[in-house]
Amino acid sequence: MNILEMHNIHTYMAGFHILEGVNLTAEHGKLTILLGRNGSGKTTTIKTIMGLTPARSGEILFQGRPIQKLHDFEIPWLGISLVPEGRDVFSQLTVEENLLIAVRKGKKVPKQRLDYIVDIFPPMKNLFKKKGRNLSGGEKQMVAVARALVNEDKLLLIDEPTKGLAPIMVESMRLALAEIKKNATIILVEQNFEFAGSIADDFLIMEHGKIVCSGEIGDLINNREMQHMYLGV
Amino acid sequence: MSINRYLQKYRSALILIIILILLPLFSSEYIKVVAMQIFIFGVFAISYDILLGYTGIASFGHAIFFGTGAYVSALMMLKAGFSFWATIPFVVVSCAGIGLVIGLLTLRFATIYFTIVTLALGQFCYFLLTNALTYQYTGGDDGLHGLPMVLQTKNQMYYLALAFLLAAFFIAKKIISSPLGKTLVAIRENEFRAKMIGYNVLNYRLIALVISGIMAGLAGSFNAAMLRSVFPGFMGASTTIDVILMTILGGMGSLLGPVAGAALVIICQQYLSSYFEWWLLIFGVIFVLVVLFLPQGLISIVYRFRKKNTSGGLN
Repeated sequence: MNILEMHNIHTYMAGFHILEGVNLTAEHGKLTILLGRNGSGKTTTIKTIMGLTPARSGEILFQGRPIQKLHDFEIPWLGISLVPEGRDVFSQLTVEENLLIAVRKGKKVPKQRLDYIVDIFPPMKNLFKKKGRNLSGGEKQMVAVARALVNEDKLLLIDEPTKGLAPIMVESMRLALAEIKKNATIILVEQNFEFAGSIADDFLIMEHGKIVCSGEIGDLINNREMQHMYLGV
Repeated sequence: MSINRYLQKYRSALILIIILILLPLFSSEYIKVVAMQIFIFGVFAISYDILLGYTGIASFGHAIFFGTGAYVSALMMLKAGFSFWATIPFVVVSCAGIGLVIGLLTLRFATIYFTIVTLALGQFCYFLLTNALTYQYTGGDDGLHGLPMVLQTKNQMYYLALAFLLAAFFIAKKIISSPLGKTLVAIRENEFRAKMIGYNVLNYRLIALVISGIMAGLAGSFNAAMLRSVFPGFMGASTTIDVILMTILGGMGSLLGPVAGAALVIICQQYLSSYFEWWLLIFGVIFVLVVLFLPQGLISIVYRFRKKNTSGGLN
């Protein structure tokens, strides 16, 4: 069953035609990786899903419901979370406040959710009182992903979570995502094919604003020619 | 928190409040009047800090609220015979209404366009007050005078103004520490990210403008009650510039900073102008020095001192 479908999506930014008819499906409970070279339209695709760069034409269905006409701030309420590239942790707020501000129902992070987050990211339990501006790159990435977990959202869109991280942090992020995907559907934008290949179920490859190739990750791992042609691996 | 820890934490603030409570006992009438102005403009500056310091909205028409509060109170007291206290709900409603209208018209921009539009609206309101058509109600350039006394003595007025400042400060502090306040800070810091976690940024900016407008309107109303007069200048660009200077000099995003900024600006206005004809030149130099050496405002001196005393170099 597909949790998300994009049909013939066209998106423009500053007059440029960025997404040129994207067709995409993400299956419920799977981790789908969105691959492609720089400038191929990966980030714009997830921004379009979130309504930040609204599609000019086409249809986006989340659990069968069209969402392309909703306001950007309404989309998270459907149960979709975005972890943006660059983390975007609020630097003036503490880690605790960064998590609290993302809570949509109630005034605090539910206890079991907090335990779940600390299970996934054990170092988080020592960070709650630390201000966002005092976190390292790896800690910021943890907080950014943790913030997307406070609401039990059904779909997580994660943009390049390993960018700029030390290898040890990349490994802990891999373990974290492997754990998270047990409870949520994930669309992951990633350039690190080795990392992506180790946790993904399905893949999508973008080129010039279109999905040019898709399938199960095993097919891509075993196809050196395709890796070289589309990803330069 | 135990009483001892509470006293320890807020020791400096309590000492300052005690000094301010005792001040009328050993000061001249003039000093009392200057202090009252500082208290009232302190509230006005706090209101602007909520908008600029915490929400990141630069309005160049904030005096609209200050002037509205002053004129609503003055008109209702003079023309309709209301007591000062009875005018307060009308001040709140009118400033909230104006905040809503201005916000709905302009806040979707929240950029330089918002700043320009608020400047234009401020000037429009100023000319509305000084227009010949409204003269019979507003008194034109002369303003309105002879407002009834709110309290009988200067000392009583002093304590009222002090209580007003303290109440406004604690309410603002509560708002800023609440989830609403944290959301405003988040919006100021990263509007895009705030939207991504599901916040309607326009609504929150509107809430900030309305709260800030009500507070500024009340400051205007108290200023009218203290002076027993209102002038069109209350709504003019110079009043907006004053509050911007107070907020920036004192330190944006700190609540206490704008009160310190109000004290600096009013003391300069009152004392420098008595001794030097070119006092604005001296004030300009002070402003440049503060911006160069204390970019986070006067309040950063307090923070540095506190950090030195509490961290012991470990932090």
